[in-house]
Amino acid sequence: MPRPSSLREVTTPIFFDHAAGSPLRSDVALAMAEGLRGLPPNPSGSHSLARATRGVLEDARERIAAVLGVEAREIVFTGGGTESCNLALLGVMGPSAICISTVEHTAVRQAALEAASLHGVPLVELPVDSNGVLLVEKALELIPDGALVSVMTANNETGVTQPIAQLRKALRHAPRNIIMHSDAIAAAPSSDVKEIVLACDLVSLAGHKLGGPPGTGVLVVKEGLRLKARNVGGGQELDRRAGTQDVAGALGMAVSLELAQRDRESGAVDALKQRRDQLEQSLAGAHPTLSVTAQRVPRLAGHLHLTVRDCRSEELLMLLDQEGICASAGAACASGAPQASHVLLAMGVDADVARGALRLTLSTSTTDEEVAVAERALTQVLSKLS
Amino acid sequence: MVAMSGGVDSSVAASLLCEQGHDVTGVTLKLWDGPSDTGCCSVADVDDAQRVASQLKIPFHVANMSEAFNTHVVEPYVEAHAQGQTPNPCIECNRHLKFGSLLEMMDRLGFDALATGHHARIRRDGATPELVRGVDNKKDQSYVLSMLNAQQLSVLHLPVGEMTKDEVRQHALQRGLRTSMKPDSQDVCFIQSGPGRRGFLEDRSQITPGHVVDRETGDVVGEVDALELITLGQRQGLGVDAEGIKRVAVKVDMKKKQIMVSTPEKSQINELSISPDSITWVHGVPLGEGVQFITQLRAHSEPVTCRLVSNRLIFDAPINPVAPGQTAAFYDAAQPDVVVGSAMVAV
Repeated sequence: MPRPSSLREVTTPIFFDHAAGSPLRSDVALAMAEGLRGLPPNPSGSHSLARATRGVLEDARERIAAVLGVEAREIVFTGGGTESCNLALLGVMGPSAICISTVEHTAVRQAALEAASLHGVPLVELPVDSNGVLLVEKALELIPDGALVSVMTANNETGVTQPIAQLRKALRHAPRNIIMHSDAIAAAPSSDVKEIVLACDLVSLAGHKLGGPPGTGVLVVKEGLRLKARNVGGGQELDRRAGTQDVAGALGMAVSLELAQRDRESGAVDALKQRRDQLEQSLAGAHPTLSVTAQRVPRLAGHLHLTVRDCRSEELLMLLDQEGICASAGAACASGAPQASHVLLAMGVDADVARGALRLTLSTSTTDEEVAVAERALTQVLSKLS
Repeated sequence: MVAMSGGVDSSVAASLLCEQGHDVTGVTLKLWDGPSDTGCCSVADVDDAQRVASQLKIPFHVANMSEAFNTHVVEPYVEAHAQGQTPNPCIECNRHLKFGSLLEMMDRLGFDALATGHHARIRRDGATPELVRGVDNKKDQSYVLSMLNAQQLSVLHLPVGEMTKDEVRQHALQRGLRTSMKPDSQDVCFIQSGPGRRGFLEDRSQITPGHVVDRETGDVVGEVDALELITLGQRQGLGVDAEGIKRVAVKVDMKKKQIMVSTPEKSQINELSISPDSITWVHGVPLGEGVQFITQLRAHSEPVTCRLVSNRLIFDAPINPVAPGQTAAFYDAAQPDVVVGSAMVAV
């Protein structure tokens, strides 16, 4: 039963699934290994060593605040992106409604469902157009005064960015007393989220998407907004998230955010976008069964979301895996099985088409050679399945 | 390609093929997307399969076949119960999913063969492959594979069919596979032990109460609260007759909302209708009318000899009633371990 692929000799898989989480960057790993050397893990204590650990934590907090353009006390460390979103959606007290876009990540969708049930208020879904972009005018009609609104900065599957600043501007007049959260987890690795942080009351970030440590997250909580903690205990993080902080993780998160900023400033993100565009153009031109999702609207630099007609995601992924390409369907259930994405369905994509979704996500570490290999591999896979 | 369920048998099937030098990829089918006893989408089983694949250092994927599973297994299961039948969903899953959609996928992706962890053997010494009972008589699963044809068998491998269950567990244990001591799955995978079959059907269809009627006297002798849950041949829950002998269900009549019961002796049958559309022959060639062969009417029931005449199985000796929707697996009279075909019991 020899393996059918001729590419058994592929030894090093090529990673095109950065949206799921980017490998730990070496500078981050180094900082985490060195930052707490000889120090105890717990920053709460009345002795010199705990104070030293606290110093590392607060240094990380200030560095993150500086990248995001906020005050250090507005940074709450959490145990990851899902927890940040949960704290935002469930921690806001007394909302009149929970309003989320139809393309939010499950972490927001599920937290919104629970928040609506917790407060006994309606859950309002804000529709998107066929590119997955929020319909701002429609949203304004649907959002009531006093609502908690959560719209992601950019979609984790398609990479499509949302008009957050435009929405916020519109919301300054009516409806009133809106609290706005944005899940910037997918966006942060390749875009400057300062504008989002400026526009919103709450912003969620996760370390592992940035090449930082998994299990680390940040919730930016604007000055003056009171949150009810979901984790209770020792009152850490100014009573917003109890539990001993992961100081090494916080430091890793800070370094990864700074590296992302450096990538934008150095032109590495522009180069990333060029590589993505190059891959997109060569694939879209060569394969009539393949469509690029939301090709004509602003998207994250590293995202290439495709649908392949008459194909199933798992089959594409299986063959790509054989060719040494690590990719994703974009949406999977708890078992890991690809499923028709709620994001694509919300965009009006036919369920059959949605079952042939493929997400290739690049990072600033992706090389031209890797792009060329992916292009060849995908060509081979598509010809096999056609 | 090895279909890995997350149980010990398919784990060992994959392990054996690796040790024989094959290039193996593990695939778990996500079939049921509702709640199950092993977590939503049976996540715990997928985790086990994935862990074994990683121990064996083979690629592993999860294929989502939940839509097809609903269409071909779950919906017909509910519908058949509503008609008073007792379907076998494992056989329909094998027919449509494991040896239907998965075989097609295997072919499309360019794999040479499919392996599963079923306890049955495929004999390849003749011109065409033959399906044979597994070595471990207690665990033999040739019954649930009896609908396969020679073409399907030609690309199928059943490595654990040559082993006893103890040997399978021993193999897994020696290699430290996580599934080595995992209990065998007993029940229908999409039905949770709490709400059970009744709860499952209640959520999806009407449950009908009915009278229990003595077939010989016509008297109403009791009531049942769910006709859909009665299986022909059933003795539980139907009361006892004047002599204190448990009554046996001999007919479910959904129209009249009643079940007929009789005594164990009088309930026995000499023949059984099968649906002509459901008949399969391993080699595509029907046994001649009136030729004696062996049939097995439940997963682990005693095989009986019979003949097929005008879509009716004529038994050499009377047997207990068999529910419509059940599968009859046919075995060769001269070689009683060799499967020759299958059919579904008609209403």
